[in-house]
Amino acid sequence: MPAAPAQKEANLRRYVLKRLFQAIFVLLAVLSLVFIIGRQIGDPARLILGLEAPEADVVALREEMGLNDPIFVQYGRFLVRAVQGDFGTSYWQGVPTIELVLERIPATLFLSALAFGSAVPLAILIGVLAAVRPGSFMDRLTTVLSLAGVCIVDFWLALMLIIFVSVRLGWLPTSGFVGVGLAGLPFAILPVATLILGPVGRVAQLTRIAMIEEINQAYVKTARAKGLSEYLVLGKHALKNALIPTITLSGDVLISLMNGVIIVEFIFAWPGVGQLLMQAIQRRDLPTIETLVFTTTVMVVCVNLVVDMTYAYINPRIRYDSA
Amino acid sequence: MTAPNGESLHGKQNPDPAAPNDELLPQPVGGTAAPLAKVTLGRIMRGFRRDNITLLALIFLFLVVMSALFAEFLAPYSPTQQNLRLRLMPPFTPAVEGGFPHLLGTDALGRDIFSRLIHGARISISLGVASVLLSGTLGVTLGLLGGYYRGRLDDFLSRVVDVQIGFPVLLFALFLLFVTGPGYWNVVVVLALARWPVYARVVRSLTLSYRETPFVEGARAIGCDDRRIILKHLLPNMLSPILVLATLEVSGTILGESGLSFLGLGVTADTPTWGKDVANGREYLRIGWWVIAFPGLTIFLTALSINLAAMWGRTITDPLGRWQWLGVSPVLAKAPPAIAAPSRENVATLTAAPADASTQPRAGNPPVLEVKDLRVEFDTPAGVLYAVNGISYTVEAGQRLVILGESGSGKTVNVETIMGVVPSPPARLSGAIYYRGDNLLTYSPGQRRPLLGSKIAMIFQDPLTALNPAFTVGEQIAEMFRVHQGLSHGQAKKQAIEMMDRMRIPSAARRANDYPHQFSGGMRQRVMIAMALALGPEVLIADEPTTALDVTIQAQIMKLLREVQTETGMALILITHDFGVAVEMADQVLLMYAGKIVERGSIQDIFRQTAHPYTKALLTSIPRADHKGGRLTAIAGAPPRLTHIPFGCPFHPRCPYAIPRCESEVPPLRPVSANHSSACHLFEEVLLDR
Repeated sequence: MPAAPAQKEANLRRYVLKRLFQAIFVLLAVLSLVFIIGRQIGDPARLILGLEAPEADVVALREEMGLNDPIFVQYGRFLVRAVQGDFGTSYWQGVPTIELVLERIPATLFLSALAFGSAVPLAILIGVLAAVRPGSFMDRLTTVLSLAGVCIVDFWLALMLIIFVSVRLGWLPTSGFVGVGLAGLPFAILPVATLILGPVGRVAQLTRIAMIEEINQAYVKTARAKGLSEYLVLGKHALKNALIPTITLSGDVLISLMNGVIIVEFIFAWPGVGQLLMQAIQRRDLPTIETLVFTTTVMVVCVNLVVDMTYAYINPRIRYDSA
Repeated sequence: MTAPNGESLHGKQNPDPAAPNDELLPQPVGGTAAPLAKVTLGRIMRGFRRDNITLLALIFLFLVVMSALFAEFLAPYSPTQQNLRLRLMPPFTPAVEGGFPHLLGTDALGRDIFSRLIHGARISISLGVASVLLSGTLGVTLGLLGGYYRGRLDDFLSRVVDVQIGFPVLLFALFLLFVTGPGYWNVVVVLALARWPVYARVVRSLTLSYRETPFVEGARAIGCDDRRIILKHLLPNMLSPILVLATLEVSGTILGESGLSFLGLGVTADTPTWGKDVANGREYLRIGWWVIAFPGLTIFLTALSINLAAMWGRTITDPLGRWQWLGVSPVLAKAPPAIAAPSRENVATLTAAPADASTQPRAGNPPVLEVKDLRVEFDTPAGVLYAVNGISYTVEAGQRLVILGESGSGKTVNVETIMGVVPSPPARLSGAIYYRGDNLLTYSPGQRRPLLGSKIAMIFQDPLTALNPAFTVGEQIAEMFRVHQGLSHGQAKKQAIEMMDRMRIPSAARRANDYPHQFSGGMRQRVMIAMALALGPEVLIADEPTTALDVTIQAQIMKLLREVQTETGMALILITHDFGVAVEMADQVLLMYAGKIVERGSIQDIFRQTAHPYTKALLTSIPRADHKGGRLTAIAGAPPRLTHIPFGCPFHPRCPYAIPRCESEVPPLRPVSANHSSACHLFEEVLLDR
């Protein structure tokens, strides 16, 4: 039976609330994990002051940092501060870690947005063309790309691109960053190319499979019988349905980009959060690492929320079934 | 680190319970048991010769594993032996003391790259296998427990799996390794902790699907305890998907390890690893590309080989796939002689059959639709499928033609050919379909398109699948006006609502914004009819429009169709297997059997002067209120497979009247009376026999 509009709204709202609740659960779980692991690694006071510092100073700092309080008090304080975005001071830079991280986010966002924005449309295009013409060049390209995407390691691909495109041919800068925007584009080309190989392969392959499945559906026959052009039959009727699994996967793509930026920023000297993570690891800067883990989790959770909402929007059936 | 082939989409299928595999082989059809093919060495060799990429992958993997095991004996140099005179030497540099040449060159300390790669295999392979064993054991166990016992444990595990799969692996691994410090076993454990959810998810969904299957319920019924069911019944059936997954994971783990090594958080000691070697070459990328290129290439080739091997593993663990790979056709059916496929000569006889008077081209005003000697064939793995075998009929304006037949009689293919929705190729079409005198089969798709939907429209059997789930019904109707008449969005929508209103869909204006799944079956079919009638077609084809609907709704839809037909004066071609519908709707009736017309006439003629044994059999199989207590008769035998249509009259194997002539000679469609014809050698006898 048809659901009344009010009912529709209520279902949608319940769906959104459920998702939000799950997101909060995830954040809390990650925070607790970070807290527990962070306390296992050694005496933070000692880490800050260094090995040569006199014992008396360390004891004083422990008292000052509240490290002698009961563990629950420390945990509560940690949570309250975390919610306020306060993860302490970087051992390495001596500034609040959240500032360090926020300062690096634009560079990473620029890179990820370029990668995501080019990978997904490109992959969908390749996948659709492969599905429409089996055995064609695009079809073979899809298979090759998806295999290459899971077999080529990104750090090697990045270095090979630098060797051949930048060093040998001299077409693009080897590494560096001049800022977000048009001027920064030449510097972003190789990092983006490295980042998208895997995602393009996976999304193209999935789109191809989904599209082939949709082309065999009865409604495609109806669309042809309606006298629609093949462009409308495939590009509108079949594609909108085939995009449903692709959208779910694009959440995965964003997650794997978060993996990729760590390596790519490290290699291309790109001053984003990935590079910050490697620097923090080399300098054993625990608060910065904790902040990065937490902000990444927030991003992952947001990505999943957005994907779920888009999914609900594009797939009308889910608005009812899954509420 | 996932399989390249849309696993996420198809990973949850139910594979067949993998009892002893050979039992799953499709048994030869047709009774003539063929000897089961054996897996012989020769077949395997030939299989590999056809599939030489897999062979290369397996050979490469073998070499890598050998290197890992016997690196000390295979490597020409010690991996740590420095030679400062031969620093950064390119590939194929001869050795100084006349030793083995440096095949792949040397690195910045003059160490032999080839030897380092051979030694590096040890870390990669052993770490990959160890980590996969650990993550596999953990994931499979938790997946089995969660899927089998359900409840809280399952909810909790599923949540953890979802969260972890959605978290960047590298960040997770780096964080843990930062805490634990680098080291061989730390890397093994960290990678295992990062990847176990992959197995848990797959195994859980497999367990869920097997839980309810008869073989598990049977085991429970005969008193097997849970442990035994899980270990003896569930696990063995999942083994091949788990093994394929684990193989892929070895590749993923090797890549993961190399990444960690590259970042300096992998294995510590000065054992060479592929990832570390790439990192070593970073500073020299301007002068020594080979230092970076070869370790990375080795990682790539190893991962590629593992992936190809896993794909091969997937093929050969599937019984059908295995036989195909071995080049043995699993279907060894030999058709019994009685139902051999029509030979070319036989088809020639079919063609030679004298055409019925009514199919002669007529002068003057051509009919709306005229089908002449239409044939449709498909190539299938089981042979040529003869779907439509030379049928001819005409449809006049305002006429209601009912095509009656069982499923597989070719009635749907026939009308889908008119609509041009039977893809050709693969289908082979011959004959002609005239719309107002023009042969549609000579039109290009682009020429035909303006007619489709606007002059000739079609309603499909199941409105749920025939409507696009992703668009509102209003949009799907409005599209007709936009594409064919170029109306604007607003105008088209208004017209669409008006059409829905005419088809008596309540509160059409509001419901136009709903999606197909929000409608009941009957309302959905009304939407379909609204769409088909939107542009006032001259011919409406309705393919079993009520089969998918409730009985009470069926009558309403038929009534609606009748009303709009009378109202608009269009021609209606209605396909059905239901005599009752024919009686209610038809001026003219065509009976189809095995892709041919067996009887044609007005509904009265068909009923009162049945002139074909098949029609007669159909009529006596209808339950009738005035024959209370009488036996319900069904037609003996089954309709022929369209790949194996009997010689002569296709109905003869089931026909009580059959004489030897019926087995050899195709009966032509002969006139019984003015507007009534039958394709039976003995229709006179059938007519008299009441």
